Amino acid sequence: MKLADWRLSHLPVAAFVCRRDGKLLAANGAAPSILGNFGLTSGRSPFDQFTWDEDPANPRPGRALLAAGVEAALHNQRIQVQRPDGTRYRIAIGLQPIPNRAGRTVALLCCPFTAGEDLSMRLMLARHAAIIQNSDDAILSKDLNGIITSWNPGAERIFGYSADEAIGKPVAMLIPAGRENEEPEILARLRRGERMDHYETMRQRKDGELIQISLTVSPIRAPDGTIVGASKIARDVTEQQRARDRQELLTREINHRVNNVFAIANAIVALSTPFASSPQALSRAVRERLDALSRAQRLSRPGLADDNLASVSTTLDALVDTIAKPYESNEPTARRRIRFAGPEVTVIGGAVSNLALVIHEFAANAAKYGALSQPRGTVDLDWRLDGENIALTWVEHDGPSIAVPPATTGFGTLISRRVMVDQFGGTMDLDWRPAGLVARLSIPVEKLTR
Amino acid sequence: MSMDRPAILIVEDEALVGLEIELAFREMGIAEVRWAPDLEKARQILNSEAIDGAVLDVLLGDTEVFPLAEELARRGIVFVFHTGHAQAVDINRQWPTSPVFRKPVASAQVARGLLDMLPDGAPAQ
Repeated sequence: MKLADWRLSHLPVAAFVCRRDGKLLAANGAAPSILGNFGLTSGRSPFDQFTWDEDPANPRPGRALLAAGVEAALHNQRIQVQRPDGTRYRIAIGLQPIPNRAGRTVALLCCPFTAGEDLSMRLMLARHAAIIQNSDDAILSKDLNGIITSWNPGAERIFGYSADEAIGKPVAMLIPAGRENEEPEILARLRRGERMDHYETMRQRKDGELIQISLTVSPIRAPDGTIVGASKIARDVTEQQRARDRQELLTREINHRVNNVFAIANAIVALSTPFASSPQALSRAVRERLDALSRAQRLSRPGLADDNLASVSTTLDALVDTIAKPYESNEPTARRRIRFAGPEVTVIGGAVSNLALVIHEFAANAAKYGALSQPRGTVDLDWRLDGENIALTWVEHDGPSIAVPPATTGFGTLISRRVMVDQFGGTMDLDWRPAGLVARLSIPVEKLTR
Repeated sequence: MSMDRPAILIVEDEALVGLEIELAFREMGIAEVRWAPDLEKARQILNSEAIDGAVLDVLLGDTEVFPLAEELARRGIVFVFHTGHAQAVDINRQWPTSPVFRKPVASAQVARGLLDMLPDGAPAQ
């Protein structure tokens, strides 16, 4: 058997030679790494350690395998090896009969190999690799020192590092400043065998951008059960987080707006009361004012797509049109009673309701005492840019002739002056001509657009 | 300034709401009421006139009123908050002596809240 020893020791794989009854004749140095020393006692049959893989619950003796191998060469037989303590592990084995000169099998050359080299195992690995390669999630592994050992295309996309750049580097390179103690914590939990599910945290891309990720970390165990590293699956939830933030912002903004609307409605009721001649007049004036404000609000309703919900804008054109609506006929051929013209002017956020209220007060006043109280009466509202200001002119035509300028202590004048002068820092000039009111308003552009 | 004729500053970006609170003070006999729609105007008034108490809207456009609150506190001027936002708890923590009125609230309540903080109390209603 010296010859067999010599030949086996030169084989690059684990191998042993046994007699046709299974008794071990020789084994090379690599064989114990697969079969363990317990299976390689000279003069005993390693096949006594084998059970079939397919039906571990009803093991057939390894002798059946041996008997088949005596008849013909066998490749890649999946079997389990039973340790002396009764536990089992998977291997595969190839058997090659060695005939004598008469053609009778007298011995077998047996090459056990780890199940990882098994074809079906390879197929499974290939399947897993394909799943990992095509995943949108970042899938990576690291050892217990936190060094990256694998890196899929999803990880390349999410973190910006190529596999070549990442493998071999500490996974801590992905951790942004201020979260340095996360990785030691994760490693400590891993060593205890814990798994972390959907752990939401921040990571930093190669380009420095911070991203929100949902992280699942599971220990990777060696066949003997010891933890040798971890698999990490990271999903980029930055977009989801943004959507949540937007939702929250929108909710807060709407809440704020609703409270403000009620505060303004309160103010309108409180301020209208002293100026009303009767409960009916009060009710009507309040209703008209709230109606004008609600129509103006609709123009500046925040959109879901906007990130900055507070600064939704409209134009002066649209604003005048919506405030004038109650004074216009519904018939499409009817001539307009409030004609307006001017360059496009943006009006944003808080300025919308105030300007709407001022224009409403002018229109309501005209309907009560001025041009719009007469069937043929009309108003021309024009505006132009005058340096840093918007200059508006309100001219009433064909109203009742005005002998004496009316007292200007009503709600309309009070609130218009307050908005125009104190809030906008502009001017308001009322000229009661016999032919009708001519009002000149000037508003700094920045008060409307800022 | 004197406590029988206190001067009040209303910082409120919404003209109507500011005016309503102003009228509430006037109905309580306070003649000296100033209104500022933003921090700039408020500082201008503070620097040129003697003010005894202030009503502060928390959010003026996109600007928070807190720097002005700190300034008022340094000057020993009492103030109350008037807010449409749901952060009354945070404000209370930072300004424990200043009541926070959540919009919408009756203006008389806000005015009364501030007048109660003035050293000699409010003038007769």
